[in-house]
Parts: sequence; structure tokens; C-alpha cells
Amino acid sequence: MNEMTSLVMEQQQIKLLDLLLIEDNPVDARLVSGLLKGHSDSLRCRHVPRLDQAIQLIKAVQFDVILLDLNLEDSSGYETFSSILPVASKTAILVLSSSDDEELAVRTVREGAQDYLVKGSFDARLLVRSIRYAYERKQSQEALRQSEATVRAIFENTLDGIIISGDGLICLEVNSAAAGIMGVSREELIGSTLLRFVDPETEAEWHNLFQTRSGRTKFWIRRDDGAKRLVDCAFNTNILPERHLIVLRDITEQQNLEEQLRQSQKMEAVGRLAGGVAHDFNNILGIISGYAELLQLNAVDSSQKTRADKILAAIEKAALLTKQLLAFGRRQVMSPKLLDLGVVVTEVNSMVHCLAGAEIQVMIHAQENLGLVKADQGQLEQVVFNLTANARDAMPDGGVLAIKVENHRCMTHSSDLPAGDYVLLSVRDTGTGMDSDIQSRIFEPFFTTKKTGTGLGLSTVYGIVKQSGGYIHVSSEPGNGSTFNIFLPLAMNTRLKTSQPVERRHIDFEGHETILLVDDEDDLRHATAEYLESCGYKVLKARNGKEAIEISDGFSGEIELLISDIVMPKVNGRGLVDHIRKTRPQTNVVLISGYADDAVIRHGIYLETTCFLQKPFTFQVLGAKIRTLLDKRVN
Amino acid sequence: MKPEDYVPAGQQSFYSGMRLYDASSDGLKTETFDSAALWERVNRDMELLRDLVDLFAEQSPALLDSIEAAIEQGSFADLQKSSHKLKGSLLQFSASQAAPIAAMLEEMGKNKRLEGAKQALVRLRAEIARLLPALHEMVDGDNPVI
Repeated sequence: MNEMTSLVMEQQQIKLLDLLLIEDNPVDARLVSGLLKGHSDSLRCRHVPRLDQAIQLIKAVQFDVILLDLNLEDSSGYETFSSILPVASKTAILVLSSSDDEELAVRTVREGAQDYLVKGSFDARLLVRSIRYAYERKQSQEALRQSEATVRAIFENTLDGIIISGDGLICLEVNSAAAGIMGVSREELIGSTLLRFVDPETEAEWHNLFQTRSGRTKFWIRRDDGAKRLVDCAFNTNILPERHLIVLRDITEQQNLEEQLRQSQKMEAVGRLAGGVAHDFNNILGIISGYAELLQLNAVDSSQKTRADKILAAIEKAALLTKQLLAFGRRQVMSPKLLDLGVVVTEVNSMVHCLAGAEIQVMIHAQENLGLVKADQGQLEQVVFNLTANARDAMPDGGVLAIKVENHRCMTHSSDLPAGDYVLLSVRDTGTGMDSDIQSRIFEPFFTTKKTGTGLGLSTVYGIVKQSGGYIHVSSEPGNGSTFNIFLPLAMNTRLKTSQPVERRHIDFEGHETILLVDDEDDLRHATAEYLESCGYKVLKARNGKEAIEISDGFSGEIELLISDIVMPKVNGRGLVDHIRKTRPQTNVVLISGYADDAVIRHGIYLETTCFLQKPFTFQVLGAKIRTLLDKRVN
Repeated sequence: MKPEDYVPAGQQSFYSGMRLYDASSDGLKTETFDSAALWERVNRDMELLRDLVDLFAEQSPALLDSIEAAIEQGSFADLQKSSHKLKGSLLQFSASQAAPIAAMLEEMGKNKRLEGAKQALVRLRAEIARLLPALHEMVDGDNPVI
């Protein structure tokens, strides 16, 4: 390729530049325009003699390069340049200086001009080259400026803390996020060492850590206000000579959530264990209940009947405790519903006593005609349990725990409690009490005054109360106990139905239908069969689903009712029900189980189409259920 | 008065390549401008050169009058400005005799000193009177007289 061709190609790639010549000497202006004449296809030049004209034109037209004489009719010297610069910030400036103005020209280049030429010392070639150079230099400066602005914007706006440190972890440059994580201003952080915020005993560990090239670690920082935060730290040493990059992220909340998840998983495991124990326990209670009822039915005198009644009453209490244990261990996601908080608290009475221990006197009082609140029952029970545990820990030598539920009307609005109607849950103890410093921090995650414990109990209470739209206040004094008041917004006014005591009257539920009874618990199966037969039913008995299917398939008569346990070996309740529904679609089904209903659902039984009785149940209840089903069937 | 009285110390090195005006001499130097440098400066464009000469011929009397008025009135800023402009044009023509005088007058205006200004103006007029015919001679005809 010859020189001419390459020149043409180079010309073709050259951008057309718009120039503005600001020059009041007509000789100088004519010379410049004359020298540029041969480049009119790539350089387009306009000329004004005055500064005011130039400024007006620059505001209207975007020029690529300004050729600027500093000494004009209406301005002279550096003032000319400083007037042009603000209105032409994106335009390259080439100063045309006199021979004795070079010092001034150099100053303009230092302060924003791209180049200067001395009049009388340039020809066309130098002029054109200088113009193009000035333009390219301006473009590069702009690109660099934008790149720096972008990097700065990223540095300033990232949510992670970024620190550029020197040796000794001295903070040289920090962003707002880093200062926020440390709980200080940027000015305070710059010049400080990161070691100021960490446990002094870990200093050596820190120095060793930074001997490596890069890495990641987690550490606790202690802010000046005493608050502790868990921080994830990624670092890269010597990114520049004696400059190290540290990126920080506050993961306290994430850790809190993970801890809550671990707690939840632990509780779920406990719940599963409790469910298993409860199932076996319920089965045992069912046997005892069954035979106690038979004794009651066949009592020869009143004293025998009384003994049987007492056995049955004790079984009822045991069943309630088992139910509460299941509720305590259960942590599945629940949904808010309208609740009577007094009923909720009363139902966990036994568990509260268990948690508090024998040395603490527990008093529970719920006002009559409590309004309803909309909340998750499991979560409210958790609140009561956590506050009970907290009160117990405050009374190591015993004391009084008083739980009260009542309607509350707040007449005056305050930031602590808006005016309105609430249901107030008050938990008061006569324990050691707390000073104001501790009170201000008790709802912080991981905060604890105890040697053991996660520090999450009260933060969980706080979270549940807020999630339920409520407010929580604490009042306490050292040595005078503590009171936690939880205000839940009233969702609905209602009169409670006062619960009537269950009258233990024996009713005979006679019948003559055929019942297929299936339970792998031998004693319970026998006791139940004995009761049903005493009522006149014909009872076919099976130990498991497989046996039941064989009996059913081999029985030529009608089987009006199937009573079956759910969890059984070989063929379980679900398999049996599926078979019966196919082969004997007219047969009613009652399922019984020692598990709670959630476990029933996990076994694939759909409760809306099936009757379910949880063990232990009295034969009275069973008899009534059977009779209702069979009578409906007949009708 | 010696030449160095007219030339500021800082500029002596600049003018070291030129013949300095000797105020004590009765004779004028014969070379009024560097025609070869001028011809290269205008990129050997005769049309451009003619335009420049015409512009200078039109501009220079007004500037000389402006300098004279500034000296008469004692207006240092006007003296500096007009001298600077005239100097600039003279430098474009590589007018080695006239340009330093214009520079001196500019410096006088800048330093607010008028001693010797009238005499300098007389010499400047004389030099420009020599320069213009020489320039016209260069551009008359199709080929420049260098």
C-alpha cells in the first residue's frame, strides 16, 4: 500500500471537527483560516472576534475545538480563558499565545486547555496536528473522567463497605457503607485502624490473616456505642504498593435468620420426637381410658363408678398435657385467625406450669368477654412460653409469675401506643428486675445477660408482636421484678361462650350394624371391641390393614362401618381406606390415631371426607360418633 | 539610550537571534522581514499572502494612530493593547525590525512607563513605512520575491 492510499484511508477515518476561532486580529484570523483551507473536508472553522460573541455561540453550538487568542477586544489574559472554560467544559481548547505569553499559556494548559501554540511559530502542518491532538486529548480526558466518576459512584453507592487500607489496617479511603457498618462517620474512620473495632485478643490473628494474599473471614465488631455486629470480611492485600482492599458486609441479620432457622429446625425435630412420643402415649392412654370406661359401665356400686370416674378424669388431664406438648413442639407455618387470647393462655396453662417449675407460683387470669385478636395461635403460645422462661430465669430462688389477659382501651395517642382498643397480655414476675441500660437492649438479637442461652427469646417475642400488629412495653426496676405488656389490636368484639363443664353421663349408643375394627394395638383393639359388642354391634377385628382387607374381601355380608388406626404396619390406614372405598363404597369410615391431625395429613388422609378421632377418646365419644354416622347413612 | 533599555531583560534571549534596534545608529537595517520564513508560514499560498498584506496595510495606520493617542493621553492600557496587536501582526510577517519596537511599546504600557515612547513610535512608523512596500513587492506578480 503506497503512502497516498494510506493517507486517503486515514483521511476517510478522520472525524469532521467543528472549530471556533476566537481572534480579534484580522491578520491572525486570516492566517489561521488560510492555513486550514486545505483541510476543509475534515476541519470546519467559524470565527468570532469578541469574547461575548464567542460565549453566545458556544452555548448554542457544540464545537469540537476552540482556538482561543487570550487578548481580545473585550477581554484579556487569563480572564479570557476562565470565562470560556465553564461554558465549553466538553470542548477541547487550543490557546493561541503570543511569544511573551508562554507562561500564561502553560497555566491555561495546567488548568484545562489541551495545548497552546505560539503565534508566528506554527505552519499549517503543525496547526492541523495540534488541533487534532487537542481533540483526541480532550476525548481521552473525558473518557477517563467518566470512568473515574463511574468507579467513584460504585465506590460510594455500593451497599457493601469498602476500605482501602495501608499497613497496620489503617483506613485510608472508605465509603459510606463502611462507616455505617462501623457505626462512625467517614471522617472518624479515615486514619483509624480497623483493629480498633475488634476484640483486642484477636489482633495477632488479624495480623497473621493479612500476611496471606487474599481471603475471607467473619468477625464480631464492637461499635463505640457498645453494639455488636457480625461482619463478613473479604480482603485482597497489596492491590497497589502498600494498599489493601477490604470489603465488609454486615451479616448480623442474616446470622439471626440462620439461627432462627436452626432453632426452628431443632424445634421441628423436637416436635417430631414429641409427636412420636405423644402417639405412643396416646395409644397407652387410649387403652387405660377404654378399660376405665368398661369398668365404669360395669360398675356394681357407686364407689367402683367413682374410682372409674377418677381414672377417666386423670386421663383427660394427661391427654391435654400431651396436646400442649405437641403444640409446643410444632413449628409449621400457620396463618393468622381470630383468636380468644384468654382461651389460648388457658390452654397452655399446664405447659406454663411445667416451664416455670415447682418453685414458682403461677397465676393465670383471663377476663370474661375478651375481644378477639387476629394472630397465629402457635406464635402467641410461643410468646407466652418465651416470657415464662424469661421470668423463670429471673427468679432462680422462686417467686410469682402472674399472667393476665384483659381488654384495654387506650384513650390518648402516643408514639408508644396509638389510641384504640386492644387485648392486653400482661406477664409479671417478682424476679431480679432490669436497669434501664439492659431494658433498652433486651429485644436485640443475641443480647443476653445469662451465661447460657441464645439471646433470641425476647427478640422472637418482639418479632411476633410486631408481626401481629401489636406493641410491647416493658417496665422494670432492679430488685422489683419486670412486667411485659403486649397490646394486640382488637379485631372483633365478641361475647365468649362460657364453656359448660362436661357432664359425665353415660349414654347407651346401641346398634346392630357390622363394624370392621382395625388397630395394631392389641389391648386397645380388644377394649374397643368389647365396648362395641356390649352396645350390640357385630365387630370384625383385624390387627393391620392387610388382615382387614382379607377379612373384608372374605365377608359376604354388609360392613356398615370401618374404624381404623392410620399408622399401621404392612398396609396402613390410607391403603385400607382406598381398598374399602373401591370394594365397599357404602361403608362409612372413622379413622383414629395417636398423632395430631397434621401428621394425619402427612399420611395422605383427607380429613374433609373422613371422620377422625384423636386418641385417647372416650367410648362415649366413639359411640356418639358411630351412631351419628350410621343414622345419617340410614336417613 | 542603549538597546537594552528598551528590551525587557526577560526577553533578551528571545531577540538574541534578531538584529536589535540600535537607537544610536543613524542607519536602518536593510532587512525589514524574513521573506522565506513568511512564505513557508503561509504554506506558499500567494492568495493568502496577498490577503494578509492587504489586511495589514489597512490595519497598521489605525493601530499606529491608536498608539499615538494612547501616548498623548497617558493611557497605558490602550498603549499595551494596540502595541500588542500590532506586534502580533508584525511577528506573522517575521518583521524583525518593527516587531521588537512594538514589543517595547507594549512593555511600556504594561509597566506604565512612557519615557522614550514617542521616539519609539517614530521609529516604528518608519519601519512599517519600509515594510509595507517590501511586502507589496513580494506579492506583486505570480511568483513571490523572496
